[in-house]
Amino acid sequence: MEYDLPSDFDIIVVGTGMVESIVSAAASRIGKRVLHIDSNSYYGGLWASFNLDSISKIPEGNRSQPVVENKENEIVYPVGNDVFDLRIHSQKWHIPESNPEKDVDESDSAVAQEEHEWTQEKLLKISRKFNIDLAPKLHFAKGDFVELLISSNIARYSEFRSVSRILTWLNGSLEIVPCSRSDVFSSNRVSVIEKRMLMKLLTSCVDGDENEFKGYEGKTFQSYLKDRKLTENLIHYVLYAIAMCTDDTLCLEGVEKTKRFLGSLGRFGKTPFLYSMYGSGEITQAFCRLSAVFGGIYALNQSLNGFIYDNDNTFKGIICGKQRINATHLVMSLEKLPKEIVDFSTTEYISRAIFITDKSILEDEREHLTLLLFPPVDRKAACVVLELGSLTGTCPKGLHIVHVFTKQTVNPEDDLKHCVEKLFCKREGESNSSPSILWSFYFSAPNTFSQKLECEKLLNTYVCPGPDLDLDYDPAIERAKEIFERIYSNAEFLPRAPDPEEIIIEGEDNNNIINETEERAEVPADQGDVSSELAHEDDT
Amino acid sequence: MAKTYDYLFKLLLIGDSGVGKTCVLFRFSEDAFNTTFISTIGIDFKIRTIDLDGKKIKLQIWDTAGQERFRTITTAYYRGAMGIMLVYDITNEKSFENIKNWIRNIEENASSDVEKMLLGNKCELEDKRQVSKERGEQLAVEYGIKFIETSAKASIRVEEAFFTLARDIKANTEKKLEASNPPKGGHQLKATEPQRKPTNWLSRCTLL
Repeated sequence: MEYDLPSDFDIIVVGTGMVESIVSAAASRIGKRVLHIDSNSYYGGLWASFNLDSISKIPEGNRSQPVVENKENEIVYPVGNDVFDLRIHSQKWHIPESNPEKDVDESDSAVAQEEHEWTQEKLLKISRKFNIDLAPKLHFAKGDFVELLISSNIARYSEFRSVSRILTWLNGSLEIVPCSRSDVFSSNRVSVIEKRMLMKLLTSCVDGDENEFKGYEGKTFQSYLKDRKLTENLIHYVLYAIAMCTDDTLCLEGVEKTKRFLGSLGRFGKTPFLYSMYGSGEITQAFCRLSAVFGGIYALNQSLNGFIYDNDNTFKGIICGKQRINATHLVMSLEKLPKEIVDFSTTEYISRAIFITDKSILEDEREHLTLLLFPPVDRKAACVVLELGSLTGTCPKGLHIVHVFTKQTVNPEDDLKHCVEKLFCKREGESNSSPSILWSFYFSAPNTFSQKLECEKLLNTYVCPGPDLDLDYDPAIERAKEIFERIYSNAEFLPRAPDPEEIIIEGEDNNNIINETEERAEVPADQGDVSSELAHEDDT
Repeated sequence: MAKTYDYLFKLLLIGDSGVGKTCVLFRFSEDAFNTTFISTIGIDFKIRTIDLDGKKIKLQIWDTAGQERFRTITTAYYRGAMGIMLVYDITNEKSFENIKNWIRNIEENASSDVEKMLLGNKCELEDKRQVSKERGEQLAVEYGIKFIETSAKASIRVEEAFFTLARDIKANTEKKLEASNPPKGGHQLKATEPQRKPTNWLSRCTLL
């Protein structure tokens, strides 16, 4: 290390996952001295994206370190636990390592065909073109995340692409879910009568008064839809695709979920969803960049050797390498928590699968960014399938990255099998119209959002959960805001960062060279204009 | 709203801490210099629009926000960059040696066709020089990139450096535009094959 880290901070953030990064940005933004540090050599922790080469080498988690040390008046806890590790089930290639030598005098068509014969060698050669998410996320176009990006001016660090179609699995095949008014009216799968029923239902979900749902307080959303005399197909679309519910979801929750979906329609494209270019891992980096721009100090790949507490269990500092760094507050990701302190175990997991495939699950003349909501069947939970093409910057042209995930009941393979079998070729080399899987990766990720993470034993210490099952970042933002407000109760959470043009550099000999121009920086972003302007950038 | 420029180029500054990246940026964008600012709080990037062969070119130049100090530049920083200024300090041998590491970093994270240029900054401090001009030139030749010695403080050749980089990117961009147009006399797209907007821009949105 060429430089020593400064030795005194207001707040030390350990781990660069989503919640930690938001807290870091928010603290730097109000002028706190922040050290943001990670033992990994990459940003994002359990929320990171990897290229093809590096995802095969991701560590499953922290290996436990030395035991608690008691020094005079101080206790040093070792960093990290193995309770919240990823559990990798399998990572496999389904294509040959390299191509056998070919005859020289082959016809043109054979050569052309060979272009599409992918080998491990070929894919690893373009490994950098892959950005594979450990925790893929979509963003509701009018959701908390998008609003936060705009209001804080962090939006300038990322680019997004809109999800271009939403599919469901209905009567044994993939169907496009009509989710906007124009979709409903142009769909030939929905009869004229159904169109009217659907529009009426969606309108009453959005505008409905209390009376509309009276008597459904304890009943399911499904029963409400049935009582509205919707046809089977319509119930399927609304329940499983639009509201993303199960058969047991209560009516009012179903209505709320329908509203969340419909409320984000029409802002950036045909569906309510956006996806971050180059992978969801870029998002944590955007918050880190803001933190750095406002003075946060970043250090990755650090050997974290201990958290220091005094005898009253108040946080004092950390040991990084041989250096002691003091701070008032400690924010850390769950997997960095000392093992001795973890008094909860995780029982909930998310079953995840990631595939590289050779074509789309539903081919079309243009490339799509597809969200498939695979409905629950035979007591198997609903699965979310996200198919990304090269336009998202997460895979090379001609290939797709497919994320499949659900709440874990058994293990990733068994939980996702029914869905995977229907979408992809069953055997290697078998040729039908379904895409083939070239590479597969099954793993379990702990779902820690429902854990109570109050660290009562350690003072001035705040614990951030890992990725959750929500499609968007809403729970992560909520948690980050909660932590921020507990630390800095009267401060504003991520006020708008000024644009570079709004920062005036004063005369040469003045020490206070950089000042925000007050009036301009105070003017809130006119989000109405922003959204209407962006609406024109939609797909046509 | 009408666009006030023909091209927008995203440029990055890269190099060790203390080589004067921020000073180079301020010299070019504000024609100002101040040795007292150490960190760059609140500054993401600066913008300057230049005229080049009759075209208005908006240069958006991004600074590292101090994330170079412990080699923690985000992969996101490199996205969409069309040009990179690699900066070292001619009075600091180490900063010159590290250029190789920065180039490796760029190769890992930036687009493969990004234009690069090497700047030896602080050339006004001749009496403290540790890196000869020849070594700078030689390194640039090795990587097939252009090289220039600058002084942000004395305002020497900073303009020239950015104009050179911008001109190279412009030439590249125009070559690509030409290449995607059908050559004369070749197969032309007719009304029977409806013209389509390039799909990769269709649903791309920046939340600004």
